[in-house]
Amino acid sequence: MFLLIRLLLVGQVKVGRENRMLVDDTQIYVTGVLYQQSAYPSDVTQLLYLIDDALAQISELKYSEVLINRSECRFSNSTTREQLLVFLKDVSFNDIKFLSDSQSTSLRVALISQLNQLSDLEYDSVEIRTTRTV
Amino acid sequence: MIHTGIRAYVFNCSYASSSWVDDPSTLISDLQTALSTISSFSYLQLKVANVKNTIKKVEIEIVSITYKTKTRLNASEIDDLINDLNTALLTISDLSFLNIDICTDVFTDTPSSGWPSESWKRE
Repeated sequence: MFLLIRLLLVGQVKVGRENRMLVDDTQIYVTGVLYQQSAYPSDVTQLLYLIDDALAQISELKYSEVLINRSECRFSNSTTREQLLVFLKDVSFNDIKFLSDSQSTSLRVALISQLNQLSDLEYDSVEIRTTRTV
Repeated sequence: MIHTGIRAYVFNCSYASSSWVDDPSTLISDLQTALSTISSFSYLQLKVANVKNTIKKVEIEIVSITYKTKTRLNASEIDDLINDLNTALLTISDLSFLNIDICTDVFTDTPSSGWPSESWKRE
């Protein structure tokens, strides 16, 4: 699922002499999420709204959807673990879809600042992927 | 009915000694040129991703690969593909990378019996 959702594309722009179609896209992944100390929260909808409302405070940030994915992962040592992932799709920051180094840093700082205000939420990492596809 | 697709990931890249590519146009062009030298190889999409986590890194993804007219490879063919990609990418002097992974997606028309996975989105 993690890799499949990475295949989603948005924000088409036409550039270049050959009229090649370049597609700019930014996605955000919050990994290793625990809500109320659980990777299997009883009310996922509540978590979804909590995150969506928190991120709405970042006025420069826009996205088409926030999704939560819960999966059971098996590791090479045969242990299994529930993993909760928050995924923001079709992201733009200040209306830019392909972010510079400094823009992505600003966005990441803003995201962490907002997420850290949610007392019931823990997470491992916030990753921003800004992609250009031809 | 089973459908398959091959993706190649080139991890931990740097281009022109940078781990962030602000304008990937030149890299994309270099990649297209390099990949065109591989015989019996085609792809549908080429992606350059700048990834920001606690560290920065550049990743390259080549999507929907056909290699030797196949979209699903055995272990030996995967080794050949990695070798060909490695050789081609090494011709790009400004590019350095750590490793190449090959993933094969398998899709079926019937529901999968794989690990449980659920998703929610706000309506």
